Amino acid sequence: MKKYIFALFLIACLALAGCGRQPDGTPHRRTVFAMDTVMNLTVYGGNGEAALSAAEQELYRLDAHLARGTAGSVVYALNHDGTVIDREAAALLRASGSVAQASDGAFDPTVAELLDLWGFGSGAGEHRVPLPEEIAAALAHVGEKYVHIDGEQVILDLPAQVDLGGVAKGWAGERMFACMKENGITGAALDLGGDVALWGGKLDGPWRVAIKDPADESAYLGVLEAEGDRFIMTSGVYERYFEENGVRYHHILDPKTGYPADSDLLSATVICKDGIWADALATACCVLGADGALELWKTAATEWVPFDAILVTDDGRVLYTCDGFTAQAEGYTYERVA
Amino acid sequence: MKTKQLTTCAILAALALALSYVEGMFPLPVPLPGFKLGLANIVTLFALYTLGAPPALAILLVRVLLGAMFAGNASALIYSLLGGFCAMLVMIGLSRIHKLSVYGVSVGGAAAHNAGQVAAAMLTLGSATPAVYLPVLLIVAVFSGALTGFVCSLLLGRRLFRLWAK
Amino acid sequence: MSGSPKLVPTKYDALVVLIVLALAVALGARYWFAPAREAAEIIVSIGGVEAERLTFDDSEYDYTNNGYTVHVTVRAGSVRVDHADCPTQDCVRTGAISRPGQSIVCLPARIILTIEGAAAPDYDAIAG
Repeated sequence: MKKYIFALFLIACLALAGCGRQPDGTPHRRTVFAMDTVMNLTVYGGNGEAALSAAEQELYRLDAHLARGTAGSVVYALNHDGTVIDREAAALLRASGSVAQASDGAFDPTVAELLDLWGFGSGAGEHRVPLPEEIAAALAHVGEKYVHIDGEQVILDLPAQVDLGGVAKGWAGERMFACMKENGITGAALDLGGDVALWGGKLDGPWRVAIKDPADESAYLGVLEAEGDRFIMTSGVYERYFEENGVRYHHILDPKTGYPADSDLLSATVICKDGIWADALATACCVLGADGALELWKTAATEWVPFDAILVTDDGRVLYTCDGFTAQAEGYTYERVA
Repeated sequence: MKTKQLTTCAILAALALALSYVEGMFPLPVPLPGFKLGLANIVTLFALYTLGAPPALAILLVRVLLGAMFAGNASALIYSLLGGFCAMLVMIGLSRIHKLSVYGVSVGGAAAHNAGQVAAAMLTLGSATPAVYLPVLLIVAVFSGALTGFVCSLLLGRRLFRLWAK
Repeated sequence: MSGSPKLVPTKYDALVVLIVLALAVALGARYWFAPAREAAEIIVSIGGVEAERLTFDDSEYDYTNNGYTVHVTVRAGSVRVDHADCPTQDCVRTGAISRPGQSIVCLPARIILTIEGAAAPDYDAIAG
């Protein structure tokens, strides 16, 4: 009799040990291919699998809804018909316009045609250096002044063309958080092809995000610690580029010159609570260069949307404006900007 | 089992449980979650010398099962199971060598404890990668084993305990 | 088993300690001369799901998914995609990777090769 009781006790212990309360610390992960990149989603707490599925579906919806090259998307319609009524597109273009104003044109959603010329666009364009006349012609249609927004209606002065690629991932992050929250999650860390979106928290400490070293893909500049909701988006000249006649041309075009931005920054990482702004500002900072980016950082804090930045210059300096950043790489001079 | 021995076992089991909970709060020397230094082996070793192997085994079993139940996750079970039993086996073996003091036995036990935990990690992760930590953990075992041995020597040195257990 | 053990360290205890340390050094030496490579593995993910784990033994593999095939070569501690029939060829252009954290991605085929080191990563995500 005693033996049976003991055996039962053993089984009960094992069972309880195995299916004990699942601590929120155990994450659920999923890899999704969308928006032309690989995304790794991690959620904590709540109904993890359901949250991931909901987020995945939302990702596909956004991709189809906002991609310039997809025939059924609102951006496609806008670029062809010159007008479209869509709440999402209107909101995104409105925000893009604000960033364009704040950055004095360093970020501009109407660079679509230029991107296509260089082969960085959404179509299967060939990488080549466009002729000055081609660039001048395209530049005539670049400017957020060609975009008019009235409520949910967007009017585009054709032949200007719009591309939401500069804010798509930031917006995707916001939307995915909304879907995940409906499934009761307590924390989420989304790696959207190198752009990170964080929400909530996890049990064993604050979020830790490693920042890639532009000079060495496998090394990190340092680790950033953050709490709660943050978007950490990076734009770097090393992400997409091609070489012609020994010269490297990267994908971050300066909307004013039509050529790859000739700034002193190799990469800019923007930390912001607003996903759209984080995404757009990262591009803007790369175009503005270190001094311009820091100017923007100061004015944005009071006039626009506050953000922090980690800037890597081409002369080996890493300028950062936030606390919680621990330097890690050798060969760089780290400067904290107050 | 005499009542007195039974209560002694129960108290020791509770003590071991408390120790394993507390040692879980130590910062981990390696990035293996669930890893423990093995301070609860103080109780295992003490029980081995004062009560004998069978009661010591029983205490270990209770500590491992209840500890896993309270922790609420199965990996804690595997870690302390393999770690604890490897330590137990080695300590039973070494304690028969009368030329060794508690220190030798506890260092050997600590080394086996850590090796058992690495084995557990390899099982749960399904790969050989945790094995890289064995060298470091063996060195750590020398120190944690010395500490365990020291505490045990204090406990065993008190005539009170020795008389009571007999 | 109940006996009165010695409570003071003896020279035989030192022997035990020496044996443990010798073991540590022997294992350490083995890993030192065949560094993290030995413990590191290559994770092959197809369609977002882990399909296989490769070791760093010189070998060649073929993976097909989504209508595209990639040819993977592991040699001398590094892994690379020798050739693939995908349109973008990013995977081939990435070249050889050899350190934990690095990865090669073939988007059209949805195949990702990642090198995983012995240690669990110290961060939640990588930006950049």
